[in-house]
Amino acid sequence: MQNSILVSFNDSVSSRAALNFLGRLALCREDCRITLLHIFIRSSASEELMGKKFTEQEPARLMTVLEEAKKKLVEFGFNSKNVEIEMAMGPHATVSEGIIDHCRRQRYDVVVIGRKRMSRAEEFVLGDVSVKLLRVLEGVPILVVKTD
Amino acid sequence: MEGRIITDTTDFFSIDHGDTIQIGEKSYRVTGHERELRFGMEEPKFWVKKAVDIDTGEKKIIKLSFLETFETHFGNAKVTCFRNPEKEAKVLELVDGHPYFMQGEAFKDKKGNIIRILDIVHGRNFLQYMHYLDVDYNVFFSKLLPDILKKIVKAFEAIRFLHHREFRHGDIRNDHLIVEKDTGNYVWIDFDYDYQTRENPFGLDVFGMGNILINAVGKGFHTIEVIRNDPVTYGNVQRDLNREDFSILDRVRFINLRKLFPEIPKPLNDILMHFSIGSNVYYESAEEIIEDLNRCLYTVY
Repeated sequence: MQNSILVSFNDSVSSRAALNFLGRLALCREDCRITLLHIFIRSSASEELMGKKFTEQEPARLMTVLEEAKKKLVEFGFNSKNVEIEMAMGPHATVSEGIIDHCRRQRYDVVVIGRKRMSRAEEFVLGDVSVKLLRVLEGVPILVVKTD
Repeated sequence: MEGRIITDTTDFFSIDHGDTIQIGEKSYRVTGHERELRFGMEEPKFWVKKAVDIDTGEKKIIKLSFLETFETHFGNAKVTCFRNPEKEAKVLELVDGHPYFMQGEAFKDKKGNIIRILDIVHGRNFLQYMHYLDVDYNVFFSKLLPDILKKIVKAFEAIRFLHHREFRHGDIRNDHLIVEKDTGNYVWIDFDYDYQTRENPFGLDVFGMGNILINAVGKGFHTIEVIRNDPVTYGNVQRDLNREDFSILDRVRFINLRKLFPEIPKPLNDILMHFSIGSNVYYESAEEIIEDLNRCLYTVY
């Protein structure tokens, strides 16, 4: 029976750390089906105003990042055919909302996410995807890989 | 000297007393610049003009298009902030007729700059309002605070109205909430700021709401310096201060007000403590604060 693993991925040190951790886990690689998921969040009016060009270029840049991540998983011994890339462009206000929505539509055995060390002030102001997942996501184990 | 007729407001610095800003059929004579208190000094805001509607004689505030982006720090959290006239124009349209928001209309000048013509909200801002309350805390607590908290709930519901429509106020401060002279309503002003806190889209609005509550319940703010240097007012409280009693984003602002004023009920103090260093659980939405405040009002008062 295949294990279905969702890896929330963006272009960050913590995402790469999560990927490396997954690569080092003692798993039966042939039996793992991995989805590398990137969530695009809805821009506010201001963000659109200030960074239109940047926003337009993001999907292509992120696709390259996700393809690199897939290559890395293949190097770790996972079957290329069992590693999927998905970019969720849906109208999600936050990354956690996007992951939760994705998990409601598709069943996963585990969700893997990287977490950068945050101060309490940062967590208060900026929010923390992993904490929100732990609070809201029901019925799916969550593996949080912490980094500095 | 005769003032100029202005139809292009791009160079807002040069628009001065005596000039007339013309927008379509309407004309407004500029009478001065708005000012803002910063670091104890009043600074002119050159993009915000005091004006008079030439047809009606009514006093107005005219906000001209000023785009700025900057990074600001809350504790060690870095946040990108924008000034966004387009957003304020949209919010003005959304809150047309809403009694808890400043009223006005937005237009474009001949160069496409967004100009907001605003009604003046008469009254003291909430910071001044609390500062000038000349009563002892126990009288304030029993006679005034219940009504103040009920009005704050109404003002917070107005913020929830914005959040549900995916707008932020953007700059919730005690001096951006006016105690309207005629109605007694607490009315929000100045919503041209916006910010980027991606995983917590309303985080700074929620923090601002917390500061309004802390000012209200504490009958003003209390800082570590003031508590240490004023034993007559604060007695021995300074011996019982912990790091966890202070604001998560402003380490000198005292939050655990029940230590100063034991009459504050625990459920109300617990709401404030969500904004303290000691908290492990934070509010993320206006809805959560309103729910807790209403429960507290229902059970305590």
